[in-house]
Amino acid sequence: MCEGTATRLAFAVSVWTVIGFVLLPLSVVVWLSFFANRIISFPPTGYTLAWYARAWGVADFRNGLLLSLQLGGCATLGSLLLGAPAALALVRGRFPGREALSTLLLAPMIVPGIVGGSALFMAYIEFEVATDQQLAGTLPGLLAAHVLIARPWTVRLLTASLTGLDRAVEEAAANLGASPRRVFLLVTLPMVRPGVIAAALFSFVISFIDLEKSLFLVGPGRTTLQIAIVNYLEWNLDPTIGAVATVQILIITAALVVTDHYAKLSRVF
Amino acid sequence: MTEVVLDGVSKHYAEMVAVDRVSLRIPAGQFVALLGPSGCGKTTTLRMVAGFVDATQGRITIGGRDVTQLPPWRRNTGLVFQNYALFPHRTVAQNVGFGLQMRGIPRAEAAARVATALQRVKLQELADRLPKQLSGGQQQRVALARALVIEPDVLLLDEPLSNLDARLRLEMRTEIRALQRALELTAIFVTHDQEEAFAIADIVAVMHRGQVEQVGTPAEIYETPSTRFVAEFTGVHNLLPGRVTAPGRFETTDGLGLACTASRPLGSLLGVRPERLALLPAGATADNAVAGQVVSLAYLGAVAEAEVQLPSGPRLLARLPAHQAAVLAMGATVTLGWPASASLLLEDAHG
Ligand SMILES: Nc1ncnc2c1ncn2[C@@H]1O[C@H](COP(=O)(O)OP(=O)(O)OP(=O)(O)O)[C@@H](O)[C@H]1O
Ligand SMILES: [Mg+2]
Repeated sequence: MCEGTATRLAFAVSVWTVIGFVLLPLSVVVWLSFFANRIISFPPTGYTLAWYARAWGVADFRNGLLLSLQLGGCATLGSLLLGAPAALALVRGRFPGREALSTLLLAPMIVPGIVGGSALFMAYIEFEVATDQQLAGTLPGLLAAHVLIARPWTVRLLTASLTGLDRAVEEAAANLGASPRRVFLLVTLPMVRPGVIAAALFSFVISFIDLEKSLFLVGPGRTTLQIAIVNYLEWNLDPTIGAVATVQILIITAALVVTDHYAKLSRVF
Repeated sequence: MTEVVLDGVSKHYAEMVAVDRVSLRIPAGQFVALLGPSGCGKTTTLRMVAGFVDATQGRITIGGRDVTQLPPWRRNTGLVFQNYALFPHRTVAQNVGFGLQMRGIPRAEAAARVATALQRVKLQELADRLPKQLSGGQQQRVALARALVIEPDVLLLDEPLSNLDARLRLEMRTEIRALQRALELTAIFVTHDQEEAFAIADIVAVMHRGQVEQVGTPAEIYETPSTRFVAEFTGVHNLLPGRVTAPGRFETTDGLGLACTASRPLGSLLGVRPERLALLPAGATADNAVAGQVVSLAYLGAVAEAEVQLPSGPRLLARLPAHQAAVLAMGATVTLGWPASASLLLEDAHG
């Protein structure tokens, strides 16, 4: 029993260490976004909200945020449109190569962003050489990349929610006279709605926080928020960056909290 | 009231034959139980009638209409699932009303029919609940009401009682039977429980390895099982190999001469149900009387089971009233008797 207590204590300590390790930098960032100092330094000389106003005043941040939000929205839509049929086929279909297709569809999750980004960039260039159609640096090119990184998560979340769905309920509907279309609309969809919402929000977050792929594909005058931050950091080190990061943290946290409400993320990953 | 006919229906899964040339005529308004052990093809047969499994061969007609090629939503069958399969996001009333909604029944009429159906299963108070707010028994009633409200040509039930506790199971089976009679529905009920099948059905079809081995009323199946499998599955524990030597005479391989009815001329097995064996007091006689030693005793409440070792080799299992068995002791020598009419002659088809 004594040993049990010790084990549990060790477990609790390690869990809280990890949580602290994750949360500490985030809290420091939030904290220093209120510092009155011009240059980030300790201890703060006072506190102010001025950096938030200034952040909104920086055109790169403002436009970056808007572009990131738009991209996130469109990427979510795109990844749902592509991911939902894929998830259906993976869960319901019985065809040779299903496992391979599943691995292929989830692969972008494990390819490092820099590698994927440079690969996409080269592919776009090849495409341009072959067709004379520019993709790199254009909005469609960027959007396609974001769909690509969001879609595996959509597939993952929708697959999980479809797998847990009791087929007998759909059969009951068919037995009562519902055509396949009506079964899908009236029974399947409502049952997987939490999964769809979770997939949408998660796709949005994944697109929103992407830096590496976008780095290769943004064009002149068109930067995402992440890239705007990196660019800004190159020349400045004032609490503006803290204010921008805090806004980001809030957006992402909100999206994840809502996601978790619909699909327990701990059960999906 | 609709007649359902299965004509040489088979289902093959690659090499596996799940259902093998099943032919069954279910007269309108009759209650048929498909009875058999796990994996014998009961569910597959039922699902072929519902349209969820395509028959590899054969024809299924419902009310004279060939439905073999029809999709499930055009067959007008009412299927009750083992796990109820209610729509989780719909209330009880909406669950029951779903089939009417699909049929485009006007709202007012649908509401009235839903109310009637809920009344039939005594759930009118719970109309606005969600399925997850109901007990298992209540959920099963909703599932039943949902299948009944569409006035199906045939009611299909796949082990609908197996998730309920023993008392509720009895209650529900009586209710299902009463509803089926009142609505004059043709029904097919799948179960692996012999008592349940006998209690609920007009006709029992015993299935084994994808085939129907015997079709008959519960009494026919019980009194005259036609194969060794049917006999064993319906509780004929005592099977003695041997042969018929003369009309009404059976001689076991270990030399025991036994009496049987003369109506069946052939058989390589003689079977006796444990409940047909009786303890013979000293001096009493019976068509068949064999003496042996009690080797095991088990009290089951109202009855007790005793295993008796015969000197010639075989053991007989007897189910006796508990008060009779109370005087027995392990190792005691007893005489068991049974009438010739309780001797069942069987062919040893599945040796
Ligand atoms: N989709 C399938 N693919 C392959 N074999 C199947 C399939 N469905 C059923 N079977 C096989 O067909 C046989 C009959 O199955 P079925 O479900 O009809 O049995 P059952 O009598 O309902 O059994 P239980 O009492 O266990 O429900 C089984 O051996 C089963 O393994
Ligand atoms: Mg079954």
